[in-house]
Amino acid sequence: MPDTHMQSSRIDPKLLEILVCPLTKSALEYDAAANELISRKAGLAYPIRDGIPIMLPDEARRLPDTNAG
Amino acid sequence: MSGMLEFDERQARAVEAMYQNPDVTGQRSEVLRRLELRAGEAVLDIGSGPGLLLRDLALTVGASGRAVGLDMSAPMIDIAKRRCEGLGQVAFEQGQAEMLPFPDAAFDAAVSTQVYEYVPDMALALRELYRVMKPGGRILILDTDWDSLVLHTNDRARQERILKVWDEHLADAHLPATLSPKLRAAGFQITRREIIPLLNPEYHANCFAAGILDGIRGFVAGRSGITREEADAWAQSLRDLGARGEFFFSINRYVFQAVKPALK
Repeated sequence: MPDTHMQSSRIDPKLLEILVCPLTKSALEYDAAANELISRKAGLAYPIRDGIPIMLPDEARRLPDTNAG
Repeated sequence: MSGMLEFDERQARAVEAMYQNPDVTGQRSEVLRRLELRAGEAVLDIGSGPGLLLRDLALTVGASGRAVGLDMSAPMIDIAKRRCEGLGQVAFEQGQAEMLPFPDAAFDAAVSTQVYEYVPDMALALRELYRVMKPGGRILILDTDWDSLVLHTNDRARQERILKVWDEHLADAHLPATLSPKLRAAGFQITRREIIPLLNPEYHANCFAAGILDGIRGFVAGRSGITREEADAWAQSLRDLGARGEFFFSINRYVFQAVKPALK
């Protein structure tokens, strides 16, 4: 059910202030369209499921090299 | 991190039921009291599980505060999220104790109960905890030392073999005994150490011992030379003792409180 999933996945903006990449401790960008938290430094995109950020590198999507670094 | 923290939905429900037992409810209110939270503070619960403590933390810091629950297990977060519904100060993240997804100096207080005994790299986990605490921030860690178990049995040899296998479910079944130097090495100043004993001198289907003993039975069956029949027979023998009024169980939870020293 991707539609309902997206609906309930809206992230609390205040939450972003206290979230960093668990690997690099650098700030994250919120990609609202993909519903992911992007760590440019680590080259990873952390998914958000049901509004819960999944801050596990093993579950993150590797960004294409052009976007990393 | 240990696979034992990855609960499926049924296991998460079992943990939730056990934590709502009066024995553990009492322990939770003790933990809350000792943390001395103030309205408006930011508090982190590492391994927030079914969210029983997190909800209390959130209500204590109030709408102007923040209560963050971190857990490895998605089914646990689902349960905790429902429990904390309507509390805008609550947030959840799925993550690991050794790799905290928070900036430096983010929290006034942090609590972790029955979690670090599962964490393989405690030195790293405590360095991470130190990093995310504000100067002057308070932490409270509660863990069981399984050396403190007293469990009456008529077959001590069998029980010792079973409990030895049970120790395998933890990264460190005896963490409290070495936690003080580990906290100091991470930079914390220890402020208080205490025991919260759990005592079940009678057997009831809903006592804490009944829940944990069933967990032990399920874990050891078919593992490291313990057969299912043997595990079942051990559990049955304890219930039989209970039926005769001869059951006795006690175990200690050790509470460590510490602070990250304030800037000079």
